[in-house]
Amino acid sequence: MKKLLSGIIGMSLLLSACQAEEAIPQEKQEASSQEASSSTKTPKAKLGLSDRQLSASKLIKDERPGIIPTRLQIPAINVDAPVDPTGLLKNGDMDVPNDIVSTGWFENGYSPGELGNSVIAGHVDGRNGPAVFYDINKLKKGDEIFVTSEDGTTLTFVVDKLETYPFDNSPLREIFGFSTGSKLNLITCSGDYNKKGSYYEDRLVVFTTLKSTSNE
Amino acid sequence: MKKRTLLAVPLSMSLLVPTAAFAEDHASKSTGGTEDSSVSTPASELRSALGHLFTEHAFLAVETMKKGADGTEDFDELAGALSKNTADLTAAVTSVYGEEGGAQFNEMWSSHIGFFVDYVKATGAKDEAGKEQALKELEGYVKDQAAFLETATEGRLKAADLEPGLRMHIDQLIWAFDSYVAGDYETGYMNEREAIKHMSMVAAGLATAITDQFPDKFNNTMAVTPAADLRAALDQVFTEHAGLAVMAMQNGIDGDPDFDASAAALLANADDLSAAVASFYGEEGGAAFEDIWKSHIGYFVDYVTATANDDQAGKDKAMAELDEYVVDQAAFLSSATEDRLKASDLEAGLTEHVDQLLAAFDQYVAGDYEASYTSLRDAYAHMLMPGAALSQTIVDQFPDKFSGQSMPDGMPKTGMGGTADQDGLPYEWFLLGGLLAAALGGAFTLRRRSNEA
Repeated sequence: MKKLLSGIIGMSLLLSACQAEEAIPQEKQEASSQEASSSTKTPKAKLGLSDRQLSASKLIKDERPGIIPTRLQIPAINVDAPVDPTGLLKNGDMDVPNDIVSTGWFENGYSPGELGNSVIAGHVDGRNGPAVFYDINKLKKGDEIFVTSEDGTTLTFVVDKLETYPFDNSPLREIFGFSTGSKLNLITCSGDYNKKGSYYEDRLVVFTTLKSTSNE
Repeated sequence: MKKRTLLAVPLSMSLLVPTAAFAEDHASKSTGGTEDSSVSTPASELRSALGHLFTEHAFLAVETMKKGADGTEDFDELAGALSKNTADLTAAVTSVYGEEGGAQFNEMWSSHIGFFVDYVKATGAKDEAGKEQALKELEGYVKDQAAFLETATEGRLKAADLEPGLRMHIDQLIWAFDSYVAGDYETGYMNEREAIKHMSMVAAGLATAITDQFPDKFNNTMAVTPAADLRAALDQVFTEHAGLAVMAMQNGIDGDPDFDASAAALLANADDLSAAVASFYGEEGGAAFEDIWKSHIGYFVDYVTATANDDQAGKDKAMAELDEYVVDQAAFLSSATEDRLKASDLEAGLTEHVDQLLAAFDQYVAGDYEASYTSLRDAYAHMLMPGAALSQTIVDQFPDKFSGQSMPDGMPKTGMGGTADQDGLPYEWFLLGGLLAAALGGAFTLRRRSNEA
């Protein structure tokens, strides 16, 4: 009933708007902005366009807003670390955080929460000992990961699987590309340490999927 | 370039010929995530072809359901257009997954359309149990369709990720339909537009999975790049324009109570298109585009009015104004794109658009519904041409906006070796052990600190 009433009110507003318009001589240049007539009595007399915005009682939108992550918490391995935006190195590789206690979100790619694979990388170790992602190899399917933005929105991701790839032969599109789900992938180093080149031979990727969103 | 999947949609392919030249010199590197600034890579073509058919499905499905509820005499022909869309989608799936895959898809996809029809029938019969049953069947379809796609893409698409999207598709169609039946036309049209938009994302996901599954067939190109995103966005808004325009004209001539809402939806679509233009050509450019574009919608409405009044002079006048519009629109786009789009080509394309819409309308008025819905589908597909041409032009004209690299070429270097197993001398081990213990303590404190922060 309420809906019907507002419909009638909307209709009569529209009609009065057109009546006002009709006094103005027809000018085709103005066709785009012409308020218009759609008299229900004589629908065929003169049709016109209304610039009125539509409104819906309920709109089902495909929205997956991403957040800019500032904090990463992984209770299962006692990680609670800041997240900083991270881009690309000159050679095109993903850059890394400057220190061993913070993590880096790949800002050129997807944001956590939106459709696609977002990525947060962290060091496994520093020169002298473990770093923030030292224990992520202990994560198991089902473990939860929380990512929070500055405004307090927290996204909960759940671990799907852990995979290890050679550092120079990782499935980059699977890790960084578009996806039908909202994904967050954590990356750190693993495998043998190549002393000569000062790098680890492998990369460990923890694949996770968005479970829920909460605003505190 | 293999044209295997492109063959699936010969209609849109032939319409894309003017821009096909772009596709040639844009082979992407076979490794890594190197992106391509062409809107016509094999992967982007696939995404566009799928987007065309998926969005058209949503549009035709909602319209068919509404006509079903009203029991209009063009229902069968409109349902026939929806079936042709299913046949085209099936051909696309077959071209990728073979006859058997295509047949399975066809059966599943057709079943969900059948459940929607059941829902419409139950609604007409005020049969709540029947509606519930149809929704239950649709939920079963969601599970089957998701499982099918997970298997076909060999796990690249996950059923768990697909199910919410499929459910959203169903919820949007049902809600758009329910709102229409309840007389809440604005809600109906707004949700119809969302349903169309949603399908564009479905195409992005499926195209990504297919191109990842058969990288050689797609020159290792990616379906989701900034350039491909722009094309998909313009494809969606342009094609939707054609669909909504045909329906608004029908509603106008029939004196349907939802004419105002359908015309407003058409103008909302024009606003989206103008906003896209403004994002590249500035507020002023967007406003100028909006004026010209909306003027042609006004002339179509004038044509409908004249038809309703049996006013041949009025029709002639509207057609003359549409001719003028074609020249103005072409001049605007040619000037905005610094002549990258030629006015003569634009005029030809725009004239075709105008002719298709007028044909769809005239045929509808004459009661030749089959021809009318063929014209509608042609008009819908034709709009992929401006989608491809304008998006490529924008990419060429504003390369900086598309040069950002959203995929790295390599993985991050996330370790310095401080905890690595060293094969050095025993005393080094001893030393390292001490350092390790100290470092662990240090890290622990740091973690504690960040916990407290």
